[in-house]
Amino acid sequence: MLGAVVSGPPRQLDPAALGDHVDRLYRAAWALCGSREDAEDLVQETFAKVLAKPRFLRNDDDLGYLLRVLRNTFFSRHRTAMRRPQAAPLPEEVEPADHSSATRPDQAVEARQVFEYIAALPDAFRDALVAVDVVGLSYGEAAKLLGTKEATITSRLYRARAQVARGMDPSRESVL
Amino acid sequence: MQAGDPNLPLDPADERLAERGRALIAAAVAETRAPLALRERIEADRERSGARGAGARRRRLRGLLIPAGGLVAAVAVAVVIMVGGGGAPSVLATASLAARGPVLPAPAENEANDALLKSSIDGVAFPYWGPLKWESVGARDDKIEGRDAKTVYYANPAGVRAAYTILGGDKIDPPSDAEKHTRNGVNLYVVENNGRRIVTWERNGHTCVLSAPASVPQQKLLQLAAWDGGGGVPF
Repeated sequence: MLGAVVSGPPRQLDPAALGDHVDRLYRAAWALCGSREDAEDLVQETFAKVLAKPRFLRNDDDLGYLLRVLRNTFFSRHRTAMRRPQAAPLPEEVEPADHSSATRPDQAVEARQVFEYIAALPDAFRDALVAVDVVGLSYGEAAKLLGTKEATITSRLYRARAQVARGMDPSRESVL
Repeated sequence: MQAGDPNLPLDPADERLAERGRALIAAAVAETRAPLALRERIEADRERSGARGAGARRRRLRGLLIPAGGLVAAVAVAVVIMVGGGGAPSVLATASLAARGPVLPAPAENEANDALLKSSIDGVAFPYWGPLKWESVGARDDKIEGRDAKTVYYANPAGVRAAYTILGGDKIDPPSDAEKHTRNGVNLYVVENNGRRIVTWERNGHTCVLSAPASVPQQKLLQLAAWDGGGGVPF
């Protein structure tokens, strides 16, 4: 389980098994960064760090470990970088995302807006929402990852979800 | 910040809003996958790091053995490295290819046979599962124990992904602890490993391996594996 200190011998993280987690980390990265281009860079940098040397884990939670590295990488580099003024790409310069399962063009647009609103949430609310709703961790796993209580995760999730819904409907006021 | 206090009472009027937010997020998550280009870059990084790791291991082995055993030991090490594992790959090792993710575009449908895709290995073509609501979304080619292996990834409308691998060369045995089932006259062997459900069976003398998250019902995987497309998928 995520963040749990589990006894037993350490096992080496299998690089060949990391491909299973690319989609979830990409979504998490997009929700952290608010931009697909920054999300791609963040995920690639995360994997490069993990692959740079053998990694040994004391539990079976590869995804939790990867999410932790992703967050650390985001906080140490990308957030600082994103505070600098940046030139926004023209629409035609943006590579289309892989929305191969989206059945309508407006679904892709809505997904982009949702991730942008998540990224704009206050850190504590965004992190809870990314851990549970985007990556799929349990409340307990998210609480351990974020160093807080499950009740706090519950409350933050509730408010963060409501804020995202309000963001998609600007006529409503913020709840945060 | 006020909003960070978990003990603050929540406005009941916000409950519907929170539920709508949850649904919006779930929809966005379900339809979003990592771009193929990103997967390719990560796969290239992984292969480079694997090559570096293998090189380091060889250097460590040489450093350990040459002082102790001289030239004979060095030759022995070289033989071990060149021969590698040898023998036939296992079903689980073949299924592990799925974890590497797609690095090639999804194969197109075969216009001459609407039950198949335009992708095959040793003449055994992958099925087109569009009628079953599983669409091909990517592919990859590998070598395992010296054999070619081709994998096509399929996804259902919820974004759940399954990997279908056809192994080149002679068929291999199913895992000894696999459960045997029969669908449409096809013998299918099911095993679970690392949270994934794996089905293996034979088509035209080749081993096929289908793996998906264990959340995909076994009956669905068996149906996919044994689907003959009205006779268009040869077994």
